[in-house]
This record gives sequence, C-alpha cells and structure tokens, in this order.
Amino acid sequence: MDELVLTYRGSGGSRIPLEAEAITPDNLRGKERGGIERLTLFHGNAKVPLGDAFEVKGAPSDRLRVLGDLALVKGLGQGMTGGRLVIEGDAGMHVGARMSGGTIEVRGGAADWAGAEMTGGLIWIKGDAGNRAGSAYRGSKFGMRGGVILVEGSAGHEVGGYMRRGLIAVRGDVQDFAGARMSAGTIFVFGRPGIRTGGGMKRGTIVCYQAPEVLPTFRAAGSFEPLFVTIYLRALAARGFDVGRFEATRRFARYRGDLAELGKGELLVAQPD
Amino acid sequence: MTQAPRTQAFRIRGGRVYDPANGIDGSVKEICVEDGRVVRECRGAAEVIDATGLVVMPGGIDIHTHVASPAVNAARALRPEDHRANCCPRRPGLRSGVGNTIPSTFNTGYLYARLGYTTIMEAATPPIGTRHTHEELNDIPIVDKGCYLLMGNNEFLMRYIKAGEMDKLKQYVGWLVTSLKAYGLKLVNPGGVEQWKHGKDVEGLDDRIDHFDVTPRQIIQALAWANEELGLPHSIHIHANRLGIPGNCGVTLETLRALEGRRVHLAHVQFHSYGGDGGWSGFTSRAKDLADYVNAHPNVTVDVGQVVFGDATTITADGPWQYRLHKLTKNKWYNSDVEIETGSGIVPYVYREKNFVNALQWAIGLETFLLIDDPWRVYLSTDHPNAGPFVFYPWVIKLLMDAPFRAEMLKRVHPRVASRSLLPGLTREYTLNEIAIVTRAGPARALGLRNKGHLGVGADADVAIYPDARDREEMFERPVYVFKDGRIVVRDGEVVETCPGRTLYADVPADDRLIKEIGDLFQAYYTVEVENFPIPLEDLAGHEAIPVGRPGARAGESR
Repeated sequence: MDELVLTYRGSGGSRIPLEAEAITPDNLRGKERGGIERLTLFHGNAKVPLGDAFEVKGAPSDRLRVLGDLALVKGLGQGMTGGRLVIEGDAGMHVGARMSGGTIEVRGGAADWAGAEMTGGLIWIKGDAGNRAGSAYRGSKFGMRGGVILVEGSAGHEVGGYMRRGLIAVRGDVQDFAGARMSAGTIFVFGRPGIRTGGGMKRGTIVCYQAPEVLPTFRAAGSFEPLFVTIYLRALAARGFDVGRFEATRRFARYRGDLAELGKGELLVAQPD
Repeated sequence: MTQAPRTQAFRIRGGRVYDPANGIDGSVKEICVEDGRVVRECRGAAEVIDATGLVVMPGGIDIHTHVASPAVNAARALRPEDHRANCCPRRPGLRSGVGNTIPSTFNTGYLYARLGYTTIMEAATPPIGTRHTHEELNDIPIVDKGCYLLMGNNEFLMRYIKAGEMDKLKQYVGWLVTSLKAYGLKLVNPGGVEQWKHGKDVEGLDDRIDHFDVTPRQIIQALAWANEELGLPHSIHIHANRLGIPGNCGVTLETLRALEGRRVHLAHVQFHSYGGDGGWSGFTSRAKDLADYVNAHPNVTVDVGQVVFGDATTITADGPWQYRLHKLTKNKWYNSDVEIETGSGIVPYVYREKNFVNALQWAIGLETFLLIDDPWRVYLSTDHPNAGPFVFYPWVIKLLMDAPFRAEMLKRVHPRVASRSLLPGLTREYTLNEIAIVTRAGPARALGLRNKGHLGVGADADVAIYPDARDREEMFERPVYVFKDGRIVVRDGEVVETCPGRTLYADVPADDRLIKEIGDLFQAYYTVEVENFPIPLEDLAGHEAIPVGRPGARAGESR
C-alpha cells in the first residue's frame, strides 16, 4: 500500500522546537512531492521549508510515516481529520491535539498535550505520555470531546483534565489530578494513580485498578460489578491493547464526587476477589 | 511612537456624501482635506481621490465600548482561550495581536479603523485604575479615545451626599476628572455595587445604601447636577440598576423620571428593557415602553447594546449581576473589589440563536433601534464585548437597513421570539443617512465633540469611504478608504498606515480648594497617596482638551 515517509534530518543541536503542525495526512494528501517539500514549518520564528527539515520519500498517500528523533518536533498530526500517521520514535508536544479523526500511532513516547481538545480518532502511544494528555488547553471549558487515547506506558499530570467525552486508557501509572474537572468521559488507570484523582469532576468515570487517594469530597457508594467495564476491556483487547490479567477483576468500590462540584462523577476502585 | 502627521491634502471627489450634521443626505459633493482638517478649498496641490460610486461619511464614533481598563485586562488574563481564537501575526508596520472578544490593544485600534471608526470611548474606568487605562489607551493606535470615570459607588461621593455638601461634591468630581484626564462620568448600578461588597444589591431607586444612608436616586441626581455644573461635554452616562434582570424596565424608567429635564445618556438600554416578574420564564420585551419614554423626552440619549450571536465576554463594574450570571451559566468568574470606588466582575458568555432568552435579547435591541423615532438619540453599540464584539457592527447595520434579512434571521432564532416581540411587525428600514446619524453624527453630538461626526469646514479629517454594496454588511466591513486626521490609514479594508490617535479629555479648570480634605481622606482610606493619584498630561501619548461649560445644554440641541 502507498505510504509517504518523512525522515527528520535532526535539529542540528538546536534546542528550539520545530513547529510541524503542517504534517497531517489531510495536508499532505494529494500533493506532489515538490509541493510537500515546500510546505512551511517554523523553527522558532524562522520559516523552514518542510523539505529542508525532512527527507520526503514514497508516494503521496493519506498514510504517513515519520522517522527520526522527533522529541522536539511539535504538533504532528494536530487537527487531522482522517488518515493514518505513524511516528517511529518519540513525538514532541501537542501530537494529535484537536484532531477529529484518523489514527496516530506513536511508537515511542509522547510529550505534553497529546490529544489535547481532540474530538475524534485514535492516538495510540506505545511509550509514556506527558502531562495533560486529552485535556483542555488553559482557559478552555472542555478538554477531549471524543475519540480514544491509549497509553501503554505511564502518563503525567492532569490526564483527561476538563474531559468532556471519549476514552483514555493508561496501562502504567498516572501522576496527579487525573480527570480533574472532567464533565464526562471515561478514564482507565491500570497502574498507580497520583493524588487528587478526579478532583473537581462533575460527571464521568475514572476506573482505577490500584487504590487511589480518595479525596474527602468523594463519598463511598457501595460496591458492584459494572458490566460496562468488562465490555470496555474486551473492546480494548479486540483492538490489540493488552489488558491481560485485568479482565479477571469484576468488583469495584464506587465513590461519587466531586461533591465540591456537581458530584455526579464516579471513581471506581478495583476490589480484590 | 508619536510623530507629527505629514502635511497632506486630498480632494475626495464624486462620492455620495452622508453628513447629517450639515444636512447633507447623499448628494455628490467634493470634500477637501488639508493639514488634518476638512477645508473649503485646498490651497496647494492635492491628491485626488476618486470616490465615484462610493459613499462618504465622517469616521465612526463608538460612544460605549470596553477596550482598556484593569478589568478589560483581567478579562484577557481570565480568557487565554479567547487569545487562541484569533491570532493576528505581525505585518509590515503593524504589531501582532490576539483576541477574539477582547482584542489586545494594537489589534483593537486596527479593527476599529478597519470598520471606518476613528473615535471610541472606554465606558468604565475606576479612578484608581485610570493610570492603567491611559497606558492601554496610549497603545490603541489610530483612533481617538476617551474614558468615563466610574462614580456611582464612590464612597467619598456618598459621604458628601450624606452630609449635604454639594459644593464639595462638585469640587471633588471636578478634581477627579481633571486629575485623571477623563472625559465623562459613568454610573454603574449606582449604590448596588457598594451593597454587593456586603453580598447584597439594590432593588429600587429608594433603597438605602448601608452605612452611607443614601439612595441610588440621590447618587444619580447629585452626579447629574455636578456634571451640568461642571459643564462636562457629555451628559452623565448611566448603566442603571438591575441590569439583565427580567422586569427591570420599571427601574429603568424610574431612573429616567428621576432625571426629567436633565441631559442623560442611558447605556446598553437593551439590557434594561425587560418585562417579567424576576424569573426567566416570564421574560418579555418592554422595548416599546422604553422607546415611548425616549420619544417623549428629548433630554434622553441611549446606546443599544445590541446582542450579537456567538462568543462574548461580559465585563462590568456591576459585581452583583456578574455573580448572578456566573451562577446562571456556571462559567468562570472574576470578581474584584476596587477599594472605595467600585467593583468589577467578568464572566465569559455565549449568545445562542436557539436560546429563547438570548434570541429575545437580540430582538429587544432591534426593537429599540426601530421604535425610537429620532435617530439622533439612539446610538449603535454592542456594549463591546458584553453583548458581542464590535467587529459585528456591519452585521447590525445590515439588520437595521434590510427588513427581509431581519425577517430571515427571525426565522432562524428561537421560535417563541416571534410571538413575544414586536419585531415581526416592524418594517422600518434605516437609511444610509440614519446609519450615519446613529454611528457618527449622533454620538458626536451627545459627546459634545464639535470637530467630529461631521464633514463641515474645520472638522477633523476623519473620513470613511465605503463601497455602495447592496449587502450592507459587506459595505460596512470593508471601507475602500479610511482617513484619520487627513491621512489614509485604511485601504480596501486593510490598515496601510498607523498613527497614535489622541486621548480626549474634558478640560475642567483645576480647582484645588478641596485638596487638603481629599488628601486626608486618601490617608485614611486609600492605598495610594493623593500626590501619586493625578495623571500628568505628559503620560498621555497624544491628547486633546475638549472645552467644558455649556450649562443647560440639551442632548437634542442643534449646533
């Protein structure tokens, strides 16, 4: 199948990030190689033609593969509406932010703001995710409003902050304030959660497989065997996201909160059998 | 950044001129411009501007907007998402800027100029924040500007009213205006903001304010009296009590009755023309009652505060109202207590076509425009950015000039509006001459700006030249030329040259008789020394003193 391959030539030792939000399947689809090479990226305040920063190979396609040390390349796949983007290695900040469709696969880790304010599509991060994955940008009322973020490693602070809809699953640990101020949506944390999980949440569900510190503004509301958790895990497994032993856990304690806000959210904490 | 305007002369030929202040209604007339003024004849060589087929008007004047003040800046800080929504990169000769509903200073000037506006009035600056306000006004390019001092909840003022020391009150007000290089006096929810500092509000003109034991009626009447005694060019500028609350029209009319026979400007009257019993379910329009009153009382001028659908930021000194809006919308909220002067609140807001209340608010604004017979006393505003950003003025103009477009919009908005509003039956269409009045000549007259809002000999050469497009929105959002002080600043809707613009202030003679007493009060109650309070003229980038002293002037008075 046709595939366009962009190989990053490297920053040449510069610590200034490369703003690469022009690199989306939408933007490159239907363009000749020359047109792609002329696309403008920004390195600090300097304009850089895409062809200077990346070697372009392969046939134009909505399947895109980006190679190289991309940790300082920002905004890959930002705002994309469809197609497939594979990042071989680490991705810089804002990968897939505001995307509405398509798939991004990050073979390494992703820096902060992965999938921030996304409305649809899938971001699959094989390594770790940084802070504020799937969250709102500062000031916005809502974070992620649809789509799926899967993280095989761990994730940073405020994952799913202000989340409005969609699914985030983190196989490793998350740091503080997961799901802070979320108003809907679902977050799975298979590893160890940080402090203040769900702080200020209005609605939505956070499923924890290791006991979080439950805020005093959450109230214990019994335990039960939620069927939807099983359905979600099977769906994740069917897509190839390994949930292994977690499928065995059926019973969850339920805490509702955050009562300092609307209090219609729920924190589900796995119970030993 | 101040630079002397280059001497330039222009003959603007062949355009249809709308200059209502001089009785010119669309006739083809040559306008000559030299040294920043309109002249009878250019003395030397002049560049000829072919305005054939175009419409020539004086530069626009916004009598009520919020573009510079500590509160406006707090709104910028509260709303980073508003910056992201509109980013304007630097261009040759122009600065970069951001902001959708609360543009940054440079952008504010460019955006106004691009609509053909050349004079704007910041409608609310707390006295202690006015140094900041002037810093921002200095940074708003191209347009001339002024600011109104927030006075309706000033504690010194209430002390003087309580003590019956009216002469001192007048001296104090004069001292503030002079010291702070302000243009006029603004009252926001008089007495109510002081009550808000104790978690309360006022409900009527005769409620008593805690501690000071005065009433909103006394505050309003005292300031109206002082305003005329000082001969300020503009009348008092009132944001009445009970803004935004269903059933508030009674208080609004009571406010106007309290000022019968005196000049008064009522701001964003749309927000004050509501019927009902306090709850939103019975929300109705009383624009007709308000318009009837205005029609019968030539002492009253109003600006509308027309609702524009979409994103807005509400910024007002009306603290109690902002708390209600925060509870209503659950949006983020900023609240501030401005020492002994006033308060302030900020809440982001979105006006939606399909929301009954918002759609009726939209209709009430248009009713106000269409039911007030005398265009000289009703002015275009969106209370920027409270009812929507000023960049939508061309859309509002289209609504006023184009009844079929209005009918089409009426079909789009919440269906109940058609039955709860007089709008479906209003077939009036504004003429270009009337638009020139409500956006230029009228505000200039209400502000006492003799050199603005018209194109007679001696006027400031602030000229907007629009294409005569059938679509009046397209026409007014893309002027072919805009002149500021006789220089071309906008060409085909884009800023081509920038200049600083002047700060206009009321030239009240200095009167320091009360300075010792004010100093003592400052010692006791303020966080600043009285010596540090006044703002010297050198701190203004450019300035123009507007003469005072026309006691007894009336809003409808002709020149």
